[in-house]
Amino acid sequence: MATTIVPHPMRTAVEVSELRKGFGEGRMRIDVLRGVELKARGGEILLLVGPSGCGKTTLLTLIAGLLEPDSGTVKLWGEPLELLSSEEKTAFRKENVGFVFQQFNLIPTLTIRENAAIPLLIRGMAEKQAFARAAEMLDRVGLGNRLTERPGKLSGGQQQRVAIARALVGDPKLLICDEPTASLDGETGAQVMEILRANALHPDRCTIVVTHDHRIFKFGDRIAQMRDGTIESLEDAPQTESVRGIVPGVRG
Amino acid sequence: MLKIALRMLIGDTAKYLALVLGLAFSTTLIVQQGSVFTGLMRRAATQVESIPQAEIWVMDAATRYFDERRPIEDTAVQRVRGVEGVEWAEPVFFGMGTAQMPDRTFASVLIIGVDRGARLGLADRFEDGHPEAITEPDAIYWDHLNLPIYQQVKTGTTLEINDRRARVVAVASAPRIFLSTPVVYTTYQRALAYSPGSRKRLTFVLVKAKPGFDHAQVVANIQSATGLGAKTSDTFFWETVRFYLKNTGIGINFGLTVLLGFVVGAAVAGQTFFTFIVENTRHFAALKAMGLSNGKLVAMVLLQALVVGVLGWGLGVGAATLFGHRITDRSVVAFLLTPHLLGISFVGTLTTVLLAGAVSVRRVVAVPPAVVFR
Repeated sequence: MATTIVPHPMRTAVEVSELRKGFGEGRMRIDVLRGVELKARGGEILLLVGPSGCGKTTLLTLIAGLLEPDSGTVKLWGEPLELLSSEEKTAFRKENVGFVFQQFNLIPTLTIRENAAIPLLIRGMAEKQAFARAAEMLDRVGLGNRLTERPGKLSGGQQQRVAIARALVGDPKLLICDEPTASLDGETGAQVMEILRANALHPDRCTIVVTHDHRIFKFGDRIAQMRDGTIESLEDAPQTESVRGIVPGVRG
Repeated sequence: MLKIALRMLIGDTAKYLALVLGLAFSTTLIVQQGSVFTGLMRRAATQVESIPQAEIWVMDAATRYFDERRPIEDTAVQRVRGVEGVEWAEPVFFGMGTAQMPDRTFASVLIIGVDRGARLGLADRFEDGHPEAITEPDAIYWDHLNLPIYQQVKTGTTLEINDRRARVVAVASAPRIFLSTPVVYTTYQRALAYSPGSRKRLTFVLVKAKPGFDHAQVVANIQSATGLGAKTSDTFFWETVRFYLKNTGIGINFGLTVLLGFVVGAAVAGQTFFTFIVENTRHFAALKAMGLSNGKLVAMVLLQALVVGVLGWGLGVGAATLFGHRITDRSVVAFLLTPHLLGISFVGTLTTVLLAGAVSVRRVVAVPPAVVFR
């Protein structure tokens, strides 16, 4: 399998089948995922919600290829992840996956431009070009005038926007977001989701967001409700005109 | 990504300085103590080194090092001059005496007597006085070794050495010797008078080989023709150094200090670097999640280790050199920074930091990238 995805509009972006994952051994074993079935489409934002410990983050890490499942398959645009070696998965993530973490995970000793350029530098892009692209992306998230500042000087919302710029700078086909608004107030959280929403509106991209934050449900296309390691329901998200229908047909 | 690794390292100034200074401290200890050690060892054989014209030293056959001297017959000079390959041969006397000081105290002195014409072994650096007057009656040079208690003797002072009159015509300023006894330089015959002893009086015969003759061959010729011991100056120098190294506590004591400095410095630097990596584990995990390979992670960590290692070493050598800068061959403290010592300290410092880096990098490689979601 090639490490670079060529999205196909007729394909499901993410297809998870009978996915099982447990931790520990014997009586200490906990089965976190118990046969998850899930499909996410290109061009949509899929929200994964559910109580703490239901397996949302574990599912996210398996979809991103950061953990190995005990059984079941994860396919990205039809290509099964389990066929990739550990090194190939790393190369795959480099080319195709962007991450937004709850704790931002910005490197405090780097400027925000350097932080945002990291995915491109990992791909081997020349520093000058990578910094120029990172500056463009930071400008898009409203931080173009603070390129040389360090993350510690920014507010939580601004730091999360840097993290989003970092996640999007490499134009990933799959964007994985873990509680991206958990540390933010309602208004800032909405701004962050607007950015993610704008990025998601292309059929060759898919965004999966783990969240507890009801305030951002309106930014999703569908909501997968998890409980006890399975998908309990998969429904359309509540309609909100301000964030829907910008690109016709995307929601399928 | 290597530039990013450097920015990660340098970005936190306090930690970066702690890392570099920890290694600098270790290097300073190694280099400073090592240099004092090599300086002291060199002083053990200073007198062999200080007569560069002498390529071969002839002595009693049982002599093992410079300070173990058994006199040979005066006729040895003539016999050595007759050996094939010898350009010239001159006598030199080394002996001990007791000098009555102006303040009525006395001092043990090393007496060096040289041939009146050749003057081989005579001091050639002076604080003051009239060195050319050495041929006058009772004339001596006095070298107080920079020790204040012996500085009461000045040019013009008259002393008694073993009850014989001696007049200081110049205060010499030769490289310090291993012992802390003043040195009296005079002519060979006068030295014999100052230091009465047995029938045999000659200490060494200094030899220069004829051009084109191999020194080792001339040494062998002298040994077979005279039955005396003969060594090239280089051999004699190193045998003396090795004797002190092996048979005194100097080597082991300095070795322990250097080792302790190395261990303390390594522990400080290793722990600081390890902490630096541990504190950045989450960031490294995030980089792995974003697709950075383990190979590049290892390169980043080892580059960081290498940079702090080289900088720490440089600063440490600088500090040690600063310490040694004001130390001369006349100072009480000996200091000799050799290229070998620089090499050893460089390898030692880099080994320390790369080991710390290797231990740290195992942790970075082992960390699951999924940790960023916790």
